[in-house]
Amino acid sequence: MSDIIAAADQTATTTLLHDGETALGTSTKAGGGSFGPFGVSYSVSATFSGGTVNLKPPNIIEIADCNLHYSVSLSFSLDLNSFLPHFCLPQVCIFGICTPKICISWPTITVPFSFSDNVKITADFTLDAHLSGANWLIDVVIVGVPTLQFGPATAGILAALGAALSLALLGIPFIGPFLAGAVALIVAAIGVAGLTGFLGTIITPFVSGLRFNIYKQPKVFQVLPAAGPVDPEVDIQITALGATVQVTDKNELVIAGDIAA
Amino acid sequence: MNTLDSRSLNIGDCLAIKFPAAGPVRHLLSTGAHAPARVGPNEGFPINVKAKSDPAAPAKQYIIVVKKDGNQFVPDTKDLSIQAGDTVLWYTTDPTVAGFAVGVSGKDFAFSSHGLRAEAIYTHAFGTPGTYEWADPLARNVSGVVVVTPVTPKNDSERQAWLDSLSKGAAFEIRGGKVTPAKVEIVVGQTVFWKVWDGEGIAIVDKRLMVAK
Repeated sequence: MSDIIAAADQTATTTLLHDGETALGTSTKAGGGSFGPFGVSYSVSATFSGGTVNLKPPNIIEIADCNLHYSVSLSFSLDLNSFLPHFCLPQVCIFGICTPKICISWPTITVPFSFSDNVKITADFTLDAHLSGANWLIDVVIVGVPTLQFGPATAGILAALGAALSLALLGIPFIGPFLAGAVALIVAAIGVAGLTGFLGTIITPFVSGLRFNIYKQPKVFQVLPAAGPVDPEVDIQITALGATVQVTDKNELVIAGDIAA
Repeated sequence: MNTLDSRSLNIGDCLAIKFPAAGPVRHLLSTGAHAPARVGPNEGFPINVKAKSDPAAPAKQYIIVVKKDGNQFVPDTKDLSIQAGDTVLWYTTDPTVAGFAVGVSGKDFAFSSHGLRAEAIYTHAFGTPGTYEWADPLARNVSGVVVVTPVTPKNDSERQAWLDSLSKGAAFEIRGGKVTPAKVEIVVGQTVFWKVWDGEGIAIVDKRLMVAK
């Protein structure tokens, strides 16, 4: 029999989870990768919020519909000659003088693009109670790597990418009559698959090994203050702490600890 | 770069001059900001203008392609021989040859892209729609307007029609300090010619590039 036992039902555990999400704050990563057929450099930040807890004995906490909000800033370069037709200004003759045929080489441009969106995560987490420095921590740790469903968001992101591309291309001389076709080709080259693959690559690391701290307790804590020179404070030391999901009249997260004076 | 500025030539621009008389001249290619007023005897490259051998023969047009060699602009033809009455046209096919200027000097002849003279032609292909007010920085009454309308072909045949239209240009003539017409209208991609019939020291510059007085 443990010396200390505390229990939290699903509602209370959900509150603990939300506190843990807030404490985790914003995570960021940067790197390079593939964006459809293009190389890309990016930075991405992510936060977690919401979700509901479903306690599953003996040791599983399912978190359903947790929001992963991500913001991505990326920059990719593309050689427009790969997408635009070969274009030459023809010879023009006036006043008995003829300009030569002049072929235009399309430039390589760098397109900056930012977007943000939410993806919902439902996954099983296990309980991990451990001592970290002067504190006992109870974390929930994701089991496996869930498949992220970006599908609904990609169409909107691709549309926004098309608008950003149009803006980036607009100032290039002579491109006007080719602009719409070029944007369509580039967006199609990236495609839903390219965007989804890119998002999966950059967002999954935020979820892989995801850990929320839902409880923190100092290893040593005061239970009675000092009452005088000969009556010092009384501290209790938690020597062991564990967490499990137990079935009582309802499923509960039970935290049990042993103490030493 | 697709700026309208005869002093600083880019891909899509041409500069031409008819050489009226025989005699050796030299031409120098430089960046637009550093066009020399005269080309020294040891500078640049020679153009040997010979007397016309057959007065009845039609004048010819010669083309010099400006290339980049390291940090310098150089002609593709290093030693050109022409006859009096022939025209030489400079242009580039290299987008990295940005903002070149042409200077030409002989015993009794001087010409540069900063100062067009009689029988000079400057051409510019307009790559972006808009209204372009231009003027000679030194003679604001030598001025005009180019209206460039956008083209948005909906299919291949419309695009081909646009491409076909690019072989037709528009032109300004500068004569007696006056410009005709005052305005030309073209579609994007078309070329405008400026023909200087008389006078000298004329430049064709987008007014937005000029410092307001």
